[in-house]
Amino acid sequence: MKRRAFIRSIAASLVGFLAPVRRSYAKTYVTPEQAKNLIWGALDMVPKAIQLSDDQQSIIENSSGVWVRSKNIKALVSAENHWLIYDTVIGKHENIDLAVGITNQGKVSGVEIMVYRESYGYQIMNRRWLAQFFNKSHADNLKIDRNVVNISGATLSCVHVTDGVNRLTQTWQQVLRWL
Amino acid sequence: MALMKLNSILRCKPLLGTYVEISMTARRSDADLVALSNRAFAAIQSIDQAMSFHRPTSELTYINRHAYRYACVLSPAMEEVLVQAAEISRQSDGLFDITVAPDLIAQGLLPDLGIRPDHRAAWDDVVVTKGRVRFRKPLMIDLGGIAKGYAVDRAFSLCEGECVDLTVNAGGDLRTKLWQKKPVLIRQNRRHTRLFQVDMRDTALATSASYYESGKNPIIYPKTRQSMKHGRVVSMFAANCMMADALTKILSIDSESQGTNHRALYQRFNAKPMVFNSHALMA
Repeated sequence: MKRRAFIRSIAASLVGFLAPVRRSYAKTYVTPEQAKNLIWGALDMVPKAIQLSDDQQSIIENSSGVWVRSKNIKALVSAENHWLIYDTVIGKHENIDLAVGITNQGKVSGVEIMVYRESYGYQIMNRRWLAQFFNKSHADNLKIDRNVVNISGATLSCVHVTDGVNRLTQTWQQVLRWL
Repeated sequence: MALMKLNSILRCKPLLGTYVEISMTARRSDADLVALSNRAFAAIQSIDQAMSFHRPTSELTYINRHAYRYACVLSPAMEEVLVQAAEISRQSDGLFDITVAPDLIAQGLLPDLGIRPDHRAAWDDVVVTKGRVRFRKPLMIDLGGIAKGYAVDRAFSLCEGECVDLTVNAGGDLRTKLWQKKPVLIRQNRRHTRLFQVDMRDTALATSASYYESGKNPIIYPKTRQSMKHGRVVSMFAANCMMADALTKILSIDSESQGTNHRALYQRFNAKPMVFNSHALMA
């Protein structure tokens, strides 16, 4: 009995020694409502759902150089035609929900990251895994680790978010401004 | 008057080419925290605009284009960074060098500005006097190894006094107020699946590794102008983030010796090095 416990403890410490901490990682920053307040303050805005046509999708893709993954746009609009768009950006290793404010002149008035998720390399290639992020509410997150706050590492590039913002300004240019 | 309840805010914005996260805890209202975090993000944005190599309109691009021909007037922030960079270069005998930009352009890691530099130029050809900078040879500087840390420090000092706790994390270069016993995860590999947990050893931490640039390494050994070939992850704890950021570049070059070659240098700057191989903490 003792010997078995001893062997088990040796095995456990060996595994502990060889395998560093492994986690998938997700972090929630602000809710969609908070993002709206951060970007537009108390401005009155009403929800507006927009469905892009195939033509609009390809025009936006051509003008922004970014693939449009979803034709459904979730947005809020004010009486002055200021917009707030909720979007999801999928990068090589990350999957990000963000809110982008666009003025009635087409200028970006603010960008807030709402949820940031990191994933295993192979998962991002898996369609079923990707599908879970579409049409999901903000509350449906993957595992959130609230205990460990900070991560340090080689700098992550935010190029996919920048591309996503460009795609949304083109969406305004091609579609939203004419509504 | 009763003390106000502790309140906190956690935000993240795409700035400095990465994700900048600010977390604040203070005895302040929601509106005050929003205003304070807005000011911190604005401070980072202004450093981003001044010190970006990628922006054609940045102060850095202006300097790179003109400082060989005439002395360029510097903003106070730029002067502070250039003076600090020169000090670290001097103390490290050139192991930290902000003039390696041409080698990064050759690797495709920075855009080509069409400037033809002298390949013998080094950090001591950048001369800062009385708020102006002059290059002694045609050269280009890149602040990629120091400006992110400086931006974190600027945002941090702006808000520190008003917060009970505060963390500014610019894509891994971070500074936190109540750092004692605070755990932090350090990324070990490209897939992000391996994270190593350590406790903070000082207020600021920076990490350097080459796992994001497939086949390319942004760490250049200034003496030979060659990329470092290893894939080690190095971290540096220091009293401010600019120092931590800059010293990781030296530690990365020095990681073969696990930081022992330049121990005196790190001690002089009051910094604590940490080197990882692919599986474990080495030193």
